[in-house]
Amino acid sequence: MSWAAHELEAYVIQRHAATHISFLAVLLGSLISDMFTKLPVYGVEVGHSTFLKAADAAQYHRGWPGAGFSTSLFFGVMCFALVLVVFKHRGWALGVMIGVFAHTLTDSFDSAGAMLFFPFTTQVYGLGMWAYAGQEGRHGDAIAYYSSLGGAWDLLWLVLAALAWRVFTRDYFHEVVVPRDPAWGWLRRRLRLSDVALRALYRAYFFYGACRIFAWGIWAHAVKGAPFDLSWGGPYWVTPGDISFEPAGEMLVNTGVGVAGLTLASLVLWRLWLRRHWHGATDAPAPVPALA
Amino acid sequence: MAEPMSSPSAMVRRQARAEVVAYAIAAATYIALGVIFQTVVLNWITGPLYAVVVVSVLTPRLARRRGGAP
Repeated sequence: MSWAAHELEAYVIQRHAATHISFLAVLLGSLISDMFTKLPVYGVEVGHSTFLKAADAAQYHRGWPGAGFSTSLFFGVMCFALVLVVFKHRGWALGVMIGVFAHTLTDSFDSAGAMLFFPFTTQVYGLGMWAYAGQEGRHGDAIAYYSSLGGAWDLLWLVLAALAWRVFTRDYFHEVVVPRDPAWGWLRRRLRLSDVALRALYRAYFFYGACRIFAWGIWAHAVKGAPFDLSWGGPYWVTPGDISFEPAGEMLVNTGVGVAGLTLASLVLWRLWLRRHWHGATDAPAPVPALA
Repeated sequence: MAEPMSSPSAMVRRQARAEVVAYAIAAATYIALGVIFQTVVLNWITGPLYAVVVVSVLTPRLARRRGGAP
């Protein structure tokens, strides 16, 4: 699984988004897949005992039966539909869907992969760049991830986010991010946040993502003395959690079925249900009120 | 001619500098706490909340110390 990449990708998308999407929605979309499914991957550690841990972390996290549906493209489409119908805001609906897509594609780089076209096929797509190590518990996973190409993957996203530095400026936040999204005005009113706090909230997941790369990296290497293994599929001391991959021929058929199913289901949903909600939805930005 | 210390643009710059210093302090302390306490600190609730609280509290104080607007 990816770690800080999921927080950082939201800022990179924000920089390159060609249309009006909500930053908060992209961030939510990129976090939601793990938000409610991660607990059983690591379990709850009390003393020397672990509770609620899935017997097969990779199968539970990315497979079916399991919570693997949350790292699929159709899950993004369903989130789009739900947000569009409930909140009637295009920027939010698109943002959540793009966030889920980004999370799904990012996760497909490890050994466990992701069922991109679920539920139309349970075919798993994974590049195996680093070993999925959720079965090792949170600390074991951190050591494995930040000793392998997973850590390099996070650093790449940190560099990409740093290259998109304009999105972190105060002018960009107040002139581009806030006007696109009424949620900022709502947050400001409800929480009585100052400009400084509102900007800190916007930058908070970059802060968290960037800092945790260094904190976990220092802990794994300086405190625990873990060696680096930047070979493909490393680190060598972890048995990679993976889900069975099909032979090439079967994979090709499954991919065809998956692409056709995803396209058809999305079109049917759009034509029969979502199109009228889209036209009835708004993008009208709410002005952020000045504090008294 | 040098800009007066109390001009609005100078105050904005001082505030911006104070904000950068606040982020730097927040990042350094958060990384240190993360190395010591790991999962209690390094999670998606505590981490962002820590940034918001520390930056919101420190920035006005640093700006005042540097003579900027609160």
